[in-house]
Amino acid sequence: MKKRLLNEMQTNELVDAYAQIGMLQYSALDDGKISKYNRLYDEKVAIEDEMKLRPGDERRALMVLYSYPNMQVRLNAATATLAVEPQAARRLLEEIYASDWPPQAGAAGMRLRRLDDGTFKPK
Amino acid sequence: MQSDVRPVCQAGSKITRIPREMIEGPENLVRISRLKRWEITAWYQSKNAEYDGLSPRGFLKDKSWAERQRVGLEALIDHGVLKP
Repeated sequence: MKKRLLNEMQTNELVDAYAQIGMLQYSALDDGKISKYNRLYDEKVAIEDEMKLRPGDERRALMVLYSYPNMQVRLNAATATLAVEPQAARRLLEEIYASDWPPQAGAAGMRLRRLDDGTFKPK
Repeated sequence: MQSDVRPVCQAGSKITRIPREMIEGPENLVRISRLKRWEITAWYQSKNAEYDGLSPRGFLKDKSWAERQRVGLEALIDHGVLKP
């Protein structure tokens, strides 16, 4: 099946694809497949970039994933929306960090630390 | 089961000319569970928005000892190995 271009996809399709990537990343981490995780990371960023380009910056649509039943999906959604909804995104990062659910809790902790010390500036 | 890890890893130490004795010294050694070691190693290798899309390992390759130590210790704290 021909892979569709991101700019041909509706917002809800991008959100679905984004969630799918997060779930695959979660499994990749569980299986220790970091190369796969990193390839999926690039796909994730491509969707974020596409949504950012659209009128009004459609990354807000990813907030629907804040309650998704997969920690990596939630972590990705929180990070991706830091620039557009900083308070809500930060609250989710704090929840993930407080959950102690590895490895996403550790990643959320590092993200919060680098937000607070100014070395990470979401765009 | 316990495992020894080094908050400042060898990667890129030749680029930054960090002496081997510092990398392999006792001050750069922490004993942790194998599971935690796996978790932190995976974090170091995974691409990350905070590091401009690079893995922390890739980002730190040409950074100073101080920067590498800081990130290493923060990783141990945020992954629940060391207390803040």
